[in-house]
Amino acid sequence: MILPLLSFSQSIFSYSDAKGDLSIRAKDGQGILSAGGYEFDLKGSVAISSKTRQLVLTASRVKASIGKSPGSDAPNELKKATASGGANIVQSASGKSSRLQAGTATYTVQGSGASVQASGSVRIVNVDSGKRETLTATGTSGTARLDSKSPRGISSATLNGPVRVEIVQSAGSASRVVFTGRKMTLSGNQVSLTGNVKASGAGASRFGNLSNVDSLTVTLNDRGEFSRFTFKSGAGS
Amino acid sequence: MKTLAAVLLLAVIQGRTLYEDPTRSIRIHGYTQAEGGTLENGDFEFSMRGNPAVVESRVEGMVVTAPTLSGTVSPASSSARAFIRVLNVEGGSVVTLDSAIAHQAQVDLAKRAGAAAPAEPATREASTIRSASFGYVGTGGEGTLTIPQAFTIESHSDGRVGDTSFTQTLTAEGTQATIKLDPATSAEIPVKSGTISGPVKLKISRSETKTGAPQPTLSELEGFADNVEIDLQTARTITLRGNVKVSGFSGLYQGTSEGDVVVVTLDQAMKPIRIRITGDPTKSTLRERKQGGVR
Repeated sequence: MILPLLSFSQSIFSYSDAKGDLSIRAKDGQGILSAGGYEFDLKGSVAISSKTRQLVLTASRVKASIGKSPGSDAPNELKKATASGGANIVQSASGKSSRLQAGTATYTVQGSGASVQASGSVRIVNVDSGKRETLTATGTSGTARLDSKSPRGISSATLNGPVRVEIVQSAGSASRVVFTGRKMTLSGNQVSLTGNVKASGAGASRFGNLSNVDSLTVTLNDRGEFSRFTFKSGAGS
Repeated sequence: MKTLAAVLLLAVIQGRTLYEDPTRSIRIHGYTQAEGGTLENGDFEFSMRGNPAVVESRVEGMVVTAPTLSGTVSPASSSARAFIRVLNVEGGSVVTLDSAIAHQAQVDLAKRAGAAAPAEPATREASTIRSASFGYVGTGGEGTLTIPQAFTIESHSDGRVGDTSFTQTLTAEGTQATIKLDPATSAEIPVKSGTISGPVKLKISRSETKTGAPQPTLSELEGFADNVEIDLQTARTITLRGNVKVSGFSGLYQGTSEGDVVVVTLDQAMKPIRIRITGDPTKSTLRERKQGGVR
């Protein structure tokens, strides 16, 4: 059944569901009321936030599907969103959070979590409970699995590259270790890089420089700081 | 053309640097396969193969090459210099210890820190140790080299002591050895003490020239023994034990001795200044060298 086109030619578009869980703001936009919910095309300083999922999405333009997700109690949820023009997704989790920034990002709810497909200068940042950025990873494209129940909001991610990962050292916040490579995979407390991997200690780090490595896995401590890494290179790595 | 490409590729692989510590004192390179990582205390652990793989510790004046190398290095920190903590080497290894490399590294570190450069030592010592395998444990101040198999040591030193310049070569062969080193020392030789099991063959050749002298004074000492104890830290002696045979010459005299124990005392410049023999004195000879007998 085709429902009427909703037009929001206002200076500020604002939407909030009855429970106040999902709220949407934009400078301009239009929407279609569909059988399962709403289809929005939002433009200009778009901000979508979900209290249930502890999620905030901002971008210049977002095409969003709102409705009830399978297995969810919430009547209106952000089921899918395609954000462009500087997408910024913040997924919070028990005091900590992860931020994903990209030229474009497609967010899709999957059960209790969500997946994100991102491209165009992708950046993933882990922020600890003290608002300190413990990990910053950049690449040209990537995917991420968001989950408010995971310790840092992003439970897993893959970045294609060249990639650069900067992790604060447990020894001191001023000390950082920088890794570069062709691909990065983040899973739980492990960050893996492959393809001409390099590592260097910065600040007060006493590590030094590692280069020409095929694969390297960083282990993070519970605070998300650099704990140690292992590497392999050459035949069989 | 393919051969040239293969050679170039091999050169690139062999030249690849795996690791450098923050002060570039320690460098690990020449590997074809490697794995490892960082440890809780900040050390860097590695295991690698190469043709050969190379570990350099410039502040320690130490370069180790071997087909198979594993160990840990302690990177430089604000309070300590970089050093090799553990090294296990297999497949035919070569260790070189060069006091000139150690001195230059210390000059570089001083320059980097804006401190006064250490004075250039009056003597230079370069040693090469060859063995199928060995183990090394270091603390930054000193290290212990354990050689479980047949080995050779070739050591060359030169320099000036007072009004005398000298060059000296020491060679030693044995079946196993434990040698304590102070590889970071900037003066004299890095060996502090050691024991060598044998049969042991030892040879010291020395040439020294006093300022204004028409020609150098040559001396040579060759010894065989069941085992050898080296103490260059306190008594400055080399003690040969069991079936000892010593022969040699110094200046105008030459002689041979056989005994149970021979103690050779060295001066600061590693010059043999006294030889004490315990055994049957009838087996000793001493005579004047013939004219033109200078070797």
